[in-house]
Amino acid sequence: MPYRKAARGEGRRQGMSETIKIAALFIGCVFTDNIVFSRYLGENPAFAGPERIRASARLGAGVALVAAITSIAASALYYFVLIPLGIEFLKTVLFALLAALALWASGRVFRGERWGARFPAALHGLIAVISVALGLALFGIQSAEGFLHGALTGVFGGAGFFLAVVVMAGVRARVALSDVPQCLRGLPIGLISAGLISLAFMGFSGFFRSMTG
Amino acid sequence: MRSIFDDARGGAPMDSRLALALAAVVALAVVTTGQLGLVIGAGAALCVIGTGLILAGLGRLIAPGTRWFVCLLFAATFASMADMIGGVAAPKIASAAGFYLPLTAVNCALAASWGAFEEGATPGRVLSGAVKKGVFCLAALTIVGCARELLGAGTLFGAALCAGFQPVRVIALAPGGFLIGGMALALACLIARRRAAKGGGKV
Repeated sequence: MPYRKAARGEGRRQGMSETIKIAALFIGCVFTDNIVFSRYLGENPAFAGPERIRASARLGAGVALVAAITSIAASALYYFVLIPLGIEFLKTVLFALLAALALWASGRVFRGERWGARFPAALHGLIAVISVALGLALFGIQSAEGFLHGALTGVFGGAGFFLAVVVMAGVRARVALSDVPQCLRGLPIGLISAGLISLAFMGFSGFFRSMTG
Repeated sequence: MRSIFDDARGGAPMDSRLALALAAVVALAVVTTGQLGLVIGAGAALCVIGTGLILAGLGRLIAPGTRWFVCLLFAATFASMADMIGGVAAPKIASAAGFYLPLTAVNCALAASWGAFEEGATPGRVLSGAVKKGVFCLAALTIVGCARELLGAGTLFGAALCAGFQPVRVIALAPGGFLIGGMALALACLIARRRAAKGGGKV
C-alpha cells in the first residue's frame, strides 16, 4: 500500500509539473516572450497591417490558425519522420511547404478560391504568414522537448501574435491622431512604439518569476 | 469578400524597399553584434541572389498560379543551404543565430522576389535587382549589428573601442532592436527627403 501511495504521489507530482510547464509556455509565448515583441516574428502585419482593430483581429486570428496548424504538423513531421530517418536538415524546406499548404487550405476555407493566384498582391500576406508560421514551427522544435511542446508553442505563439496585432492596431489608430514628425511617420514610429511596448512586456517576466518563486 | 490575409497588406501602399526592410526586421531578435549581423546578412544575401538567379532563368516558365509557391520552395532551399554553410563556416555564430538565419533568408528572398514577374522584367534586370537587394540585406544587418554592439556593449566585432564607455544595456535587449530599427529607418527617410528636396524631385 505505501508503494502504491508513493507511486500515486509521484504521478500527481509529474502531472502537476507538466501542467506548470504548459502554463509557463503559455505565459511565455503570450506575455514574457511574446513572439512579436520579443521574438520579432510577424512584424509585417503587426507594423504595416490595417488600422481598424476589427480587421486586425481577423488577420491575427487567421494567421494564428495557420501557425497552429503548421506547428502541429511540423512538430509531428520532425519527431516522427525526420528524426527517425536522420534527415533533419530538410526541416526548413518541409516546414515552409507545410506553412504554404496550411495557408492555401485556410485561404480556400475562408475565401473559397485559390489564394495564391494573385502573386504580387498576395506577397505581403505570404511573407507575413510564412514569417509567423515557419518561425513558430522552427522555434517549437529548437528546444527539442518533444512533440507536445512543439505543437503547443505554435498554438500559444498564435495567441501571442493575435494579442500583438490587436495592440499594435490600437497604437496605430492612436498615432494617426497625433502630430508625428514627417520622418517618423509610418514604420519608424511603429517600430519605436513596439520597442516601448516590448519594454512593458518585459515587466511580465519579473512578475511571473516572483509568482513561481 | 476580402480574405483575412489581404489585410496583411495594410492601408498604405508598400514599396519593395519597405517590404525588404520589414522582412529583415525578424533578424533583429538575434543581431546584437556585428559578427551576427554579418553572418545572417550573408545568409540572406546568398538566398536572395540564389532565388533571383533561378527566377531570372526560369521566371517565364513558372505558371502564374504557382509563382508564390515556387518562390517559397526555392527560398527555403537556399535558406537551408545558407544555414548549412553557416554551420560549417562559423559554427558558433550560426548556433547563436539559431533558426533566425534560415528564417531571415526565406523572408528576404520572398520580399526580394517582388517585381520578378512584372511586365518588362528581363532576366538581366531581375538578376541585377536580386544582387542589389542581397547587398542591401548584408549591409543593413551588419550596420544594425555593429550599432547595437557599439551602443549595447561598447565593442565592435568583439574589440573594445574606448575605455570608460558606459554601455546602454537596453539596446542589446529585445526593445533595443525595435528602437534602433525605428531610428535607422527614420534617418534613412530623413536623408531621402533632404535629397529629394535638393533635387526638386518627389519624396
